[in-house]
Amino acid sequence: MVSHSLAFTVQQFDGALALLTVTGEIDFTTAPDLRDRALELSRQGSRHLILDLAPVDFCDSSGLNALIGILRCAKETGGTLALAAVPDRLSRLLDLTGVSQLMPAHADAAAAMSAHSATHGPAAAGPAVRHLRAVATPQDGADIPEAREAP
Amino acid sequence: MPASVPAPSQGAAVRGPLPSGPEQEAARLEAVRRYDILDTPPDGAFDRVSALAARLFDVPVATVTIVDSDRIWFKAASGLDGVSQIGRDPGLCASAILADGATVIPDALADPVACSNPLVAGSMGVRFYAAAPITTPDGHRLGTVNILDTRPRVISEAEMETLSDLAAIVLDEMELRLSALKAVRTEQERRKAEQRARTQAERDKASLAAFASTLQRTLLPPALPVVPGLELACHYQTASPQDVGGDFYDVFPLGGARWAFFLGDVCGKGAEAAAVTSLTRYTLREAAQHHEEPEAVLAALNTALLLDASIGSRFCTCLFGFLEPAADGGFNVTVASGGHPPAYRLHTRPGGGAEVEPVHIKGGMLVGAFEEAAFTSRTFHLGPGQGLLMYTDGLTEARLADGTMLGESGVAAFLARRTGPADATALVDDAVALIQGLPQDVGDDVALLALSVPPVQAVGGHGVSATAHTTAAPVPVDATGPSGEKD
Repeated sequence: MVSHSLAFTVQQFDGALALLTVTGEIDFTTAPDLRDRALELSRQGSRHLILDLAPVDFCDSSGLNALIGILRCAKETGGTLALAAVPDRLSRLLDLTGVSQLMPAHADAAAAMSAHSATHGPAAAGPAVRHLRAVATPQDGADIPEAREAP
Repeated sequence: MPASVPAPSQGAAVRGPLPSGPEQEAARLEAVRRYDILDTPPDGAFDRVSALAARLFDVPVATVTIVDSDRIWFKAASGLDGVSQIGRDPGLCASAILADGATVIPDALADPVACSNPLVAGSMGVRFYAAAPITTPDGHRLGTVNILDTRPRVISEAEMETLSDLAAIVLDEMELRLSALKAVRTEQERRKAEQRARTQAERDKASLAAFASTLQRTLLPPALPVVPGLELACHYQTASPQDVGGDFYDVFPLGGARWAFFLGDVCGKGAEAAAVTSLTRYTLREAAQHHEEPEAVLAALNTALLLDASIGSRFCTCLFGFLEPAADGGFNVTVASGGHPPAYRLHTRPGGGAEVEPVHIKGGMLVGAFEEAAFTSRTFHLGPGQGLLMYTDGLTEARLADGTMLGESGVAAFLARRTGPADATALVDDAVALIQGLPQDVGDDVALLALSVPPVQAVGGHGVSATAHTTAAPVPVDATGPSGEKD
């Protein structure tokens, strides 16, 4: 198991909205980082959070647990959590556990932003994109690949 | 080196002050012990120093001595055969270590103290004595490098410096020896500590495994009950013997021929998960007594988990159901799902094998995470020749040779391929064989619970059996069910 970490890109908008793009593999080792990063944004005042998971190539039940933690925190602060481009396996887990009822999932970040604007009013772009942590992308084949269900 | 007869006026020893009280002596002896040199076997380096001294000063006897509490011990001696130590009689070495610098006694017979020393007064007849103290960096005089002659003589300042240099060489050698000793001891200590740590770790590991399996046994029903008209089988294995798993199941009576069953999976492992598992089992058993609907039982569990501050952010997925006997000898089953993978219903086909149908229960949410969690249930009939298999995600997440997960579709395909009957024991045995046939060890705990209604013609034929496999180790240990049949 090669140690790896997640990379985050944050865009903050007026109206307490942040779009957090996650790159990497969300598993037992990295899921706490996702949770910490999201809770940090919440503490900084972005109580509405959209997680763009398009660059996530693996996410297991640890990721689901992190999302549940983030959602519980968002609820406490009167915020919301929406997902964009959810990987297949996570999508199945969300449906199976019924958590998808509490976290709207959208095809991509743009769709998630539009849906948020429709509910909370348009989001004006805040400061420029900030790259928070540049990390090496995980080596190909270094970790367990996304498992497809056997036919 | 020619010995010159000294003038009588030079008879007294050249000595520094004598500051040594009992405290200084105690500290000095401690320094002697620190170097750990007393009674050590002869050593070439020290022998060379005494031989060199004898040659340099052209004397018959040269020694390297360490002054102990009650003796003067010779670390090296040139020209003194068979003497390894002498008493601490005053006059020579014993007095020399009291002096700050070197000691010179040109004629011992003219020295009021040295004249009565055994080496002077005895058969050896020492007349000339000079010594340089072996002084540690912190100022303790451990002993001396000595030169002795049987004739009186004088010694120059430069020669005294040479003698002091030899004493310094002795100390350097002792320091080297001490640091080597320390290194060896440190290494030995390190090895011993490592060994102790290894032993302790192995002990801890064993006791942890024992603790885990004991705890595990308290978290699982010791054996499945005998439910009239129903066959039951279960299997339990944890991913590692050190871990208490978070999977659980139970089957218990509610009175009036009604029964309840559940199977589930707490997220996480270890003591914390075990606490949730325990709370979950007791809550479900309790709630089952008070509610008619399985959804209400799961709602009660949801509340209990959310209320328990010590549980923190732990939640579980769970299937909970009620069983009521039906007129045809089967059972009416009502199952609610708390975000758990679907159970499979199997209908035995007349020609062998079974039809497989997943029991999808839409809308149920995992338990203990959200206050607004809603649960739904499904009711169906389990008739003769039909079975129900419940499992935790350790089964669906087991990996095939190509690294892909079995998944729900893989489980369904495996059940459809079976040619055996849909009875509980065969279902569990086949599923266990499937897991154990996989190339990789399962990465998660696996719990299996199967119920089946024996085919009509078989009822009363071979009685009812309840089979349990319960084990906390990856290798299942078969246990005999209450029926007494060894499966």
